[in-house]
Formats: sequence, structure tokens, C-alpha cells
Amino acid sequence: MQIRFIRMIDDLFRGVPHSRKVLELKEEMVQNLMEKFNDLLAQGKSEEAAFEIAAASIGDIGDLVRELRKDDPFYAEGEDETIVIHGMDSIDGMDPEPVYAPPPPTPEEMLRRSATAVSTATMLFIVSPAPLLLFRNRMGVLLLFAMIAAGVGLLVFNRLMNPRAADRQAESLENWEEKPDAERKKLFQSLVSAFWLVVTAVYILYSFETDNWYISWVIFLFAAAVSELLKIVFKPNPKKLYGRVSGAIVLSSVAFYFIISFATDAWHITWVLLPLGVALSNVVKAFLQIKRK
Amino acid sequence: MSIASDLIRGHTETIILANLLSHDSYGYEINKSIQQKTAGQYELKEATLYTAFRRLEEGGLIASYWGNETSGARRRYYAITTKGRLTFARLKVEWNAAKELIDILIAEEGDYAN
Repeated sequence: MQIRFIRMIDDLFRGVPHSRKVLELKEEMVQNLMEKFNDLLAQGKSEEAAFEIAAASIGDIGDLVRELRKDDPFYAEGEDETIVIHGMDSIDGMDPEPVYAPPPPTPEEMLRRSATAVSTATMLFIVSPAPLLLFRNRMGVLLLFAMIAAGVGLLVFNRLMNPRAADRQAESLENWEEKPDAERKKLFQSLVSAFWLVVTAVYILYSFETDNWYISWVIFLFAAAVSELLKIVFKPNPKKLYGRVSGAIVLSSVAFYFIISFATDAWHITWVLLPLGVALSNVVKAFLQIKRK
Repeated sequence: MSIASDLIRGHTETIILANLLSHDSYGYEINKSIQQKTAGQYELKEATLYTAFRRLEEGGLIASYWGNETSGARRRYYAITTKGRLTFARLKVEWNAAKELIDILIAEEGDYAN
């Protein structure tokens, strides 16, 4: 029964960032709902009736969500209307299917689809060196990375479309509150590995093509900067926000330093880009801090 | 929800403070005692309760801590602070003054004729 309450609360708070505060509130709400549910059972109510009564006692969480949002720098005032809050009111109405019920999946079909995706991806990974051996030129490298990218894409897509893994995680009670974070983390990690693969492919292709090995490596500096920015988008952690933004700026300025220096050969002056980059990163950092306050 | 419960909702925070005066408590226990005191006539929606908790905690009127229950899920307890006690005393005085005034203002002719 606890899992039903957990699912319901998870659903109510869908779209709310998973800060520590929110996770603690969810835990608190589930605990109190369970206690209420058990009391209702002791009073002789049926399981279903007790669940419905407890669920109906939650009320409209709109104000609560706004209250939690107040100290979240990623949600400015007035953005609330973009968040859908699933009301619990329909419970005592005509709706026979409660709003928090997970959509009924057909397990066999999900499993089959997932197995097909995973085995296709594995096959792609295994076969991917073949074009390199066949063509022994740029075409081979291109095909190799195309196949790896297709395989990674399949795996990412499979993880998105197949909620079974997520369900299984929800069932383990000890770490229920980490569930959404864990899911997000996995998705993020697949994206990051795909990203680095693409960057490496671009690096190798560009270098072979132009023979500019002396400078092409700076793509990795840019890639590191972009991955820092990706982290800001996917793991909104206010505490690390400033560090990541300023890190990205410093990395980019180092990359520009090398590009401009090699291009112009003006090494005697280009070094000023480095202190400028550091200064800019500090200005942005200070600006973000002020804006947050 | 009747007009009475709308009136009461404006005093949710005072009611919660009152329930914490004698001992620390947690969400469901507070709501249960509200239900019992009013013989089932009034009960807070959970959303209202938790919103009030957040506000009170932010204002430093209450503090929360996790209990170490040996069986079942852990509870989040709330304790009233000194600032909370002072605020409660002030709110109670204000309410009593308002109550008297409203009584006078809505009294029908003859209610106060001695």
C-alpha cells in the first residue's frame, strides 16, 4: 500500500525540482498518509475506502509547490502556470480511473521491444570496426562512428520508452525517494557518453581531413565547457551553478587563446585572453549571485 | 467547505502553534487532535498543513527534526521555538480582541440591553 501512496505523491509533485526539501516533504507526506490509512483500517474501513479517504485529504498542493519554488533560482516568479498540478478532486467524482494510476503497460510487448533495441545496439557496437577494416580511409571512420552513434541512440531511446526499469526501482522501498534522481542521472550519463563519442568522432575526422593536429585538440576544451553547461541544464544544483558557469568560461577562453595564437602567431599578446577570461568568469559569477539574491 | 472553515483557515498557523505548546508533534498527530477537539467538524487539508509548516519554519517559529522510529517510516517532528511562543501569545491576544469587536459589531438590537 505504501507504494501506492508513494506513486501518488510522486505524481502530484511531477515537474517539481528534486531538491532535498522536496524529497523530505514527500517522505513526510507519505509517512503521515500511511499512518492515517492505518488508523482508518483500524476503524473498520476497507483498504480501498481508506486509501480514497486519505488521498482526498491531501487537497490542492498548488500553494505548497509555490512555497517550495520560492527559493529555487530556476523558477522565476510568474512561471507557475507552466506547471500542471494533478488535482485529487476527481477522486470523489465520476472518474473511475484515479488520476495517479500508472498507465497499464503490456509487459510482454515492452520486454520484447526493449530486448530488440538492446540486441540491435549490441550488434551495431560489435560490427562497427568492420567498415574501418574494409575501407581503410575516412569513409571507414565515418561509418564506425555512425554505427556507434546509432547504437547509443537506440539505448537512450529504449531507456526513455521503457518504464519497466523505473517501476522496478520504485518498488524498492529503501530508495524510493532517490528514484526520479537516479532515472535522470542515468539518462544524463547516456547523453554525456553519446556527446563525448560525437566529439571524438568530429576530432578525428577533422584532424585527418585537415591535418591540423596542432590545434584540433582544443575541441575537447570546448566539449568540456559544453558538458559543464549540460550539467547545469540536467542537474539543476544551485550550489554548483556558479562554479560550472565560470568553469565553462575559463575553459572556453583557454581554447580561444590557443586558436587565436596559432591563427595569428601573436603569442606575445594573446596571453591577455587568459586573465580576461578569468576576470569575465568572476564577473559572471558575481552577477549570478546578485541575481539570485 | 463552509464559510466557517474559510474563517478558520486564516488562523491555521495559530492553531498549529497552539498544538505544539505542550509537546512536539508531527503532521498527522496534529491534524488528528484538531479533528478530535472539534468532534470531527474540522480537519486541515494536508496541503494546507504542510504549507503552514514551511512558513512557520521559515519564520523561525517552529523547528523540525526527524524522529528515530524503530518500526515503520520515520516521522518528522516539529517543535515550537521561543519566538513561536511569543508570536502565539500575540496572535491569541489579537484574536480575542477581534472576537470581542466582531461580537459587538454584529450584535442584534437588544443583545446588549441590560
